Parts: sequence; structure tokens; C-alpha cells
Amino acid sequence: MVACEICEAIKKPESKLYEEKNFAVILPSRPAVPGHIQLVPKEHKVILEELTNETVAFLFAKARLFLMALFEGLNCHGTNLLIMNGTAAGQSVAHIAVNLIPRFEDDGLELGWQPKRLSEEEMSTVELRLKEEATKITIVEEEKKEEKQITIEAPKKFDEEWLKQQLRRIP
Amino acid sequence: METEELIARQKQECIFCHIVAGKVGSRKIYEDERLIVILDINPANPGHMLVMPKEHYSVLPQLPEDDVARIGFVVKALSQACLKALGARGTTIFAANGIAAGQRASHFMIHIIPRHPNDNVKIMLPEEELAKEELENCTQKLKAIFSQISGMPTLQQETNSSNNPKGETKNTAVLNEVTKFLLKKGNKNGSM
Repeated sequence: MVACEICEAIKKPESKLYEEKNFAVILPSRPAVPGHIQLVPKEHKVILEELTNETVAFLFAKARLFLMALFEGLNCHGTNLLIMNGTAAGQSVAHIAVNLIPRFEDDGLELGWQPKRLSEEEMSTVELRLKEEATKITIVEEEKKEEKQITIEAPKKFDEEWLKQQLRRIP
Repeated sequence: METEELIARQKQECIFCHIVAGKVGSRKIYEDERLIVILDINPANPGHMLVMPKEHYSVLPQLPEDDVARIGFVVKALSQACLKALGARGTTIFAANGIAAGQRASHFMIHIIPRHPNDNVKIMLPEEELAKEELENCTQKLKAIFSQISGMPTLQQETNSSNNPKGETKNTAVLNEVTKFLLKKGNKNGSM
């Protein structure tokens, strides 16, 4: 069995930038741009669907913090969050990763797509199918309260300064 | 112009705020008190969804942590819905913060794009060799800033505390709280 590239990266001090009990932030083996980092669960999980909704919620909350850190630490003009979930989505390593990518004006990175034209009928069909699944989503408020107690605040200086800069750049 | 003023003006002109308010029609997939999920009218693939906070925020770090966690929860559930209900073989989860990152609307959103083999949606990361020096430079900057994150243990501090087994710091206590909280939820897949 071939060892998982990301499981290996979590173990190595040269590729591991940060860690907590259950997740780590690593340098990808093939970064798209300098400063590209990956937030990964330490446990070997291949796709999002193997994680619980709560785990993904936890990872997203952490991603927020590290996106702030990219803005602050690299003075970048923007950031992308990208999860390639499954080989059909271009996932190349069998360990789920949240890619956090610092962006600069004219950095040459293209992460767009061509819109497809769908008929009203096609739109209605997917709408109905997804809606049906979406009715199963329940967020329990009691759990949310506990979550608040463990909220970890970013240093204050992250917020104000760069936020002003950011807002000026948005249409 | 002050930040508040900018935000107020953005809100007035924001099409997605009008969608949230019900003034503009949309194909709504999910809604709760904080979030709304609609179908993208210019989809990369059928079933392409936009997950948005109801409140007008421009970039993800502006959102309260609770809302971001909620988005993660809903994204995961709807990604699964794409596989189940649409027969997708994968999903692309994408967000842009700032014009330089390709952001077009001033209302923050996360895209969920159902994916199929050879569907011709080209959201790929380049894998070219990058200059070692520049990478190393970036890595040092990142390490410096990450070590400040909420005064959490840096790798260095962790090494120190392992030399001092009794030295359970405040930070470790916070981390233990996180773990306890998540375990309490009965996460059977893992302990996160």
C-alpha cells in the first residue's frame, strides 16, 4: 500500500506549519502559488462525505482563521478557498484537504468556469431533487450554544485594518 | 469613505440582499435564520448552488465564526445531496475573497458545484515548479503569523511542553474543550 502523501506531510516538520489535536495546516507538495496552504484532518479521510457535518463545520471555522492569517501574514489582495472533493472534481491526493490560496492582482491564476445553459425544466428538476435532500438538514441550537463557549478569537488587529483595504477592492 | 458607509452602500445595491429579502426571485434550496442557499442562474454544472449568509458580508473572515461553522455544516450536507440526488461523482467547493481572487459580487458566497468525470469544468490548480526561494520566504512569513494565532501553542512551545509533561497550559485546556465538545456530539467517524 502506498503511503498517503498528506498523512506523511502531517508528520514532517518541514511541511507542517501548524497543528492542533485533530487538524493540521501543511504545505502542499505541489503548491499552486507561494503561500498556498492546506488545512487537513489528521485522520485519513478521503472525501468530505466521510466526515460528519460537525467536523466540516469545525474545519470551516478554522479555515476562517487561516484565511485571516494569509491576509495578515502575506499582505495578499485576496484569497480562495477550494475543496476538490472526489477525483471527478480533480482531487489528486486521497486525503481531503481545504486549499487556502493567497491571491495577488495579476498573479495569473485562473479559477473560473464557463456557465452552462440549462432549460427552465432542467433547473426545476435539480431544484426539486436538491430541495428534497435539503429538508433533512437540521441544526440543533443547543449544540450551537456550547460551540460559542469555545470560540477562539483571532487577534484584534486582523479585523479592522485589512478589512478596510479589502472593502475598497470589492466592486 | 468609512467602512460602515461602504457596507451600507453595498447592501443597497446588492442583488443577493434583495434575493434574501424576497424582492428578487430565486430557486431556493435551503434556508435557516442565518443562511440561504440558492441555485446559481449561471451554473458551471446542473445543481450548482450558492451558500450565502443572509447578512451582507463581503469576505469570509468578516463573518462571525458561528456562521462560518454553520456554512461548513450546510456545505457538507448539500455536497452529499449532490451525490445522492443528482448522481454527482464529486463536488467542487469554492469561494473567492476579493477581486484579485475572482470575486464578482460583493455578497460573500460559497459555490457548491456537482462534478462528473470529464464534465469540462476547469477549476484546477496549476502544479508547476515554483521558485524555492520565494516559497521558503512565504513559509517563514506564514510560520511567524501562525505562531500568533490566538496565542495557541506553536510547534516550538509544544516541544517545550513535552519536555515538561506537567505543563498543561491554558492553550491545551482550550484544545481539550474543543475535543470534548466534539466528542460529546457523538462524532463516530472521528474525534474531531
